[in-house]
Amino acid sequence: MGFIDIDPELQKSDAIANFFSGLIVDQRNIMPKLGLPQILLGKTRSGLDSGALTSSIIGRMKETGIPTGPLADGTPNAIEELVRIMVEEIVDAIQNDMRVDVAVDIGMLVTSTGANAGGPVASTGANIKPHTGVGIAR
Amino acid sequence: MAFKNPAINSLTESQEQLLSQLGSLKNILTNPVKKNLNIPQNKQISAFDYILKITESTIGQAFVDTLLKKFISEIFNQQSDKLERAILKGIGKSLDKQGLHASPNPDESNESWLLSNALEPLHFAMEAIKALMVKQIIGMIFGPSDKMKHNTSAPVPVPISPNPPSTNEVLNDVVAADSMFSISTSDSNEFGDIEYNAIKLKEQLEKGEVIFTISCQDVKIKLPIDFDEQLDSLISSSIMSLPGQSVPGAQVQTINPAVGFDYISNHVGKETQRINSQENSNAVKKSFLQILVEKILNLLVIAVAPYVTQILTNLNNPVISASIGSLMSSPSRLKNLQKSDPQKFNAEKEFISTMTNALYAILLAIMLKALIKEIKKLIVNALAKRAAAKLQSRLKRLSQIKKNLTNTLEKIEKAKQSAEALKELSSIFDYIKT
Repeated sequence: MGFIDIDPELQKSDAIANFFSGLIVDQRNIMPKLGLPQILLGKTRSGLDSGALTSSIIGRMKETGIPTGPLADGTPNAIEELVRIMVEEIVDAIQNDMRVDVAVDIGMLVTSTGANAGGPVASTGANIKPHTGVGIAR
Repeated sequence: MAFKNPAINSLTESQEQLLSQLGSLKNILTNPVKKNLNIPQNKQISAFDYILKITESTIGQAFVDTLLKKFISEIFNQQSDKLERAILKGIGKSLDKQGLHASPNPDESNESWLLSNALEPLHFAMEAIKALMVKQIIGMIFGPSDKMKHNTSAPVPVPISPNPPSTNEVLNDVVAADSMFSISTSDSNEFGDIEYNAIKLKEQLEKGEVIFTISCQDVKIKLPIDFDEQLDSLISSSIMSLPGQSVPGAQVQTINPAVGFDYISNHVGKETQRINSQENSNAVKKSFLQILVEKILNLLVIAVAPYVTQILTNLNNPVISASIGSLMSSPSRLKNLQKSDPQKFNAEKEFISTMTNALYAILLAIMLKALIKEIKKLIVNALAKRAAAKLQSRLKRLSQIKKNLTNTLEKIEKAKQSAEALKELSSIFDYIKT
């Protein structure tokens, strides 16, 4: 700096960084909430398959210019192996280690039947309509 | 001694896994610890440099040049009063610092009084003065010293102090202004050995052969031979294009005298092309614009001072007239005071500090406004492209699922047909019942 300083009011690099970061956060996509029918249709999904996922990723490697298949001298393609290992471990962790903590929303409609013997009634009920809940994956 | 072969052992899976995990732990320990840097505000990268980094990485160098040219054009635009307002803000602060009050109304601030009373005559005079200043500032940047003096023989009369600074005084001010204000902040001393550099710069300016370090290259540039002719023609055209100067009834478009800086930028580019290769020419010219902006911020105060002195004197305000000599201290005086009398330095630096920072604020505002607009477009386009790619991928998956379903249905159909056909042959297979 010279013998005339920049006014501290104009030293706003931090504020500029925060402003543009806010812009990027504001513009991010918010995933739409799924409706009940869409959620229930999830039963038809096939589930995670590390092999299929690996093939899918390797199939798109050409978009980045990364070569696929064994190298010219016959050695295995290390990047493909890395992708395969990473996917296997991640899928394995999701399928075997992941836990989803669920809370069911209030307001679930239940019909129940039970006998009255002049005292407290134990009854068995069932929800007549699908109901929503919220789950957090751990 | 019998020759012994080195032992080679294969490792089991668990043995290999342990070695990998221990190696990974070691790797974590060798990684440098990420420090959360808490840099004080005055040591952080300057707003200008940071905006420059963002712009260069997202939009490109060409856009940076466009913004810098826009700033120069805005300052010297005869229709705009941004420069005049920056000057009057500086005068107002200078009066405040000296405890003087220009307005007879004690509730009216100095800046407010000046904007009401001095802005109009200053703006009117500056319409012609801006054209003169362009030539003078270019002369101050490149030398020689006789090209730095104030023009007292303009195509139209302009108010100027009866005793403008001499050539030598202007030269000393130009040399002092070289280390006056920087739009960068640096931990290290970016000006280096100031005294040595000042001596070297003075020698170069006297000769008119200044060495610029542009994009890490030292380039010696002299003014073109036709500089006086070109700039005098520009000054004349610019002044004659002002309303009230041209022939009545003639359709004349106002000429912004900032085109003089375009002329000199092109000259610098050509000179470097002559000295170096074509590729370097483009690199040099682009970086010269940043040097030019910083030079303008530092030299404007020298160019404008004698004109503003006279215009303020003409206001016939007793407070201003009495203090006119101390309102606008020159860069060389301030540089000397900084070492010899810091108290006086703090008192007298107000005009230059306020005016220069006001112009810097204008530069930042122009760059930020344009950058916000472009970054918003970039984010929207990037997200739209990402969403389109996601949709395409989803459609591809859905069509794959559909294809698989179709294949499955076809297989089921074929199996059914095969079973039907086999039934026809059952009379053969079941002929002999066991």
